[in-house]
Amino acid sequence: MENFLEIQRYINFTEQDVAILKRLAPIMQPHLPKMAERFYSEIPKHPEAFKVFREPEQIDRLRRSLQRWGTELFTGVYDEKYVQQRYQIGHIHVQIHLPQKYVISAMALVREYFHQVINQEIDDAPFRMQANISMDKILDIDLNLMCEAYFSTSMQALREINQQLEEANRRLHEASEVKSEFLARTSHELRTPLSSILGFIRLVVDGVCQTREEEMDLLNDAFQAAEHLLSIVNDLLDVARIEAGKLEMQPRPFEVRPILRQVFALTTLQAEQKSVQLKDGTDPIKLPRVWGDPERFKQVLINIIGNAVKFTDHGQVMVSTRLDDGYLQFEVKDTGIGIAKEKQAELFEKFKQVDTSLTRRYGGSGLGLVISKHLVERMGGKIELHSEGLGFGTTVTFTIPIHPKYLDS
Amino acid sequence: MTKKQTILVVEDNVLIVKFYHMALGRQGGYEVYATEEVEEILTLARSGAIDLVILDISLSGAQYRGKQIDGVQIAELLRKDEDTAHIPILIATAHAMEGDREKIISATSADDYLEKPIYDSKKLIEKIEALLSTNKGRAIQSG
Repeated sequence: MENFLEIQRYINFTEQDVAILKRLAPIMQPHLPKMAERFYSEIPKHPEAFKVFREPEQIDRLRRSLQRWGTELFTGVYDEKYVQQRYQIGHIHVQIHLPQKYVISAMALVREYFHQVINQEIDDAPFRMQANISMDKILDIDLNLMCEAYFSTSMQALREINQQLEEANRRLHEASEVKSEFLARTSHELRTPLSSILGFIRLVVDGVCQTREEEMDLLNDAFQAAEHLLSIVNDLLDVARIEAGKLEMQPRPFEVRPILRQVFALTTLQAEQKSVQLKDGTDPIKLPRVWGDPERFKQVLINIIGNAVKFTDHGQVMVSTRLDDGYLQFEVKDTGIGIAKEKQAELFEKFKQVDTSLTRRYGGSGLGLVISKHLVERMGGKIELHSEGLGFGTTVTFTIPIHPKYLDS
Repeated sequence: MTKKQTILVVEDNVLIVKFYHMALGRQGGYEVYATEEVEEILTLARSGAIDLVILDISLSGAQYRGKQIDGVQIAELLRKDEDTAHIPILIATAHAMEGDREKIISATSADDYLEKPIYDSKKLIEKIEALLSTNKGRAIQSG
């Protein structure tokens, strides 16, 4: 609002100008149709304006509104309301995508035409001069207000773009922070087994051991730490491949049973060491051929069953299967530590890990579920995790498509 | 023969604890005691039986008043108590990113800081010796 008054002050619009414009009104009125003609005669020269005023009805509407505009130019009450209305006209131009340069050049033609009319119709030289001056002032106000509308619209658009950029920037910053944290955690997780590997080998080399058995014991510890390190590195490489979209799959039909047997052999040992019962509840007869990458499928099974055993200190881990509308569904249910509801979604998120102290206590990179989710989905299946919270055990289910030929038969 | 000096190891990784036993106990000739139990750490430290603490930062089993705490908080507890404030603390952690050292030293007011992997037992023993002798000097001055 203050802006509009500022414009009036700027061009020094006075009571005298108001009086002169009033006197001028009846003289100009008959010429307004011609003025409107001048205004829209410019349209064909501006392709963008032409796009807006192509239809005859539109030109007709423009003609009428221009005549109204012209009348108000001479008979207006030049208060804030007037100024606001003229500003609104500018906004309408913006809204209908009328180009600003068209409005400026059309206004120049209008101005020229009005001067022409004044010079023709008024013989009284002092009045003629005053009329020309007041005319210019009121047209300046109008043009300024129209340009102001264009300007404020551009500013608004810029502000919106700025907000979007800020938002995008914030998200990038966040992603970069998540990655930095991930890097710090990874460095930490790699240094820990490395400490044991180097430390035990060094002790053996330094001849600290008193017996060969003691040496073998330390080397065995170093070996275990090295295997742990290798599994972390492998998981990291998988995540890097997934990130780069370069994880390769070789899908083909395959039998589930032999893979299940292998995975059970591996994980049973792990379970027995901590007196957790690993139970095979899979259907002994009806396990259909499925479609996917058998190596990757095995990796998922090892991850999910391995996790269940790892996070269960007492009780059992039950693996079962069922047919589910073209898919074979696996369920791995444990009586382990479970996981708080609010942290369950994070488990599948790349570079986020629920609680690194768990990884340290239970071993592993903490990336197993992220990788498993990707692998299951790439093979066309779904993976889900359910837990009633800490202390209530965890159930993971995932599906793999049944081979189409098996479905047909 | 003077009494063996006792090092308290606060570390959650069993293999690394085993390394400290071999490197400091057998090679260094110290008494090595390892625990993550915070109450036990504080009781031992107050009893005057501990000459130096090797403290890990990320701990999985350190509970204090029902809450899980880390090495930084354990250091704060030790520093706050005038009976234990003088015990030298050597941080031994796998946190090794830019700024970690400064941040952790200022938060713990630890006497020294080692980044894992820690495997050179001779250097480790030298570092411990240096900390023990400055502390002895400090104790004599103040006493």
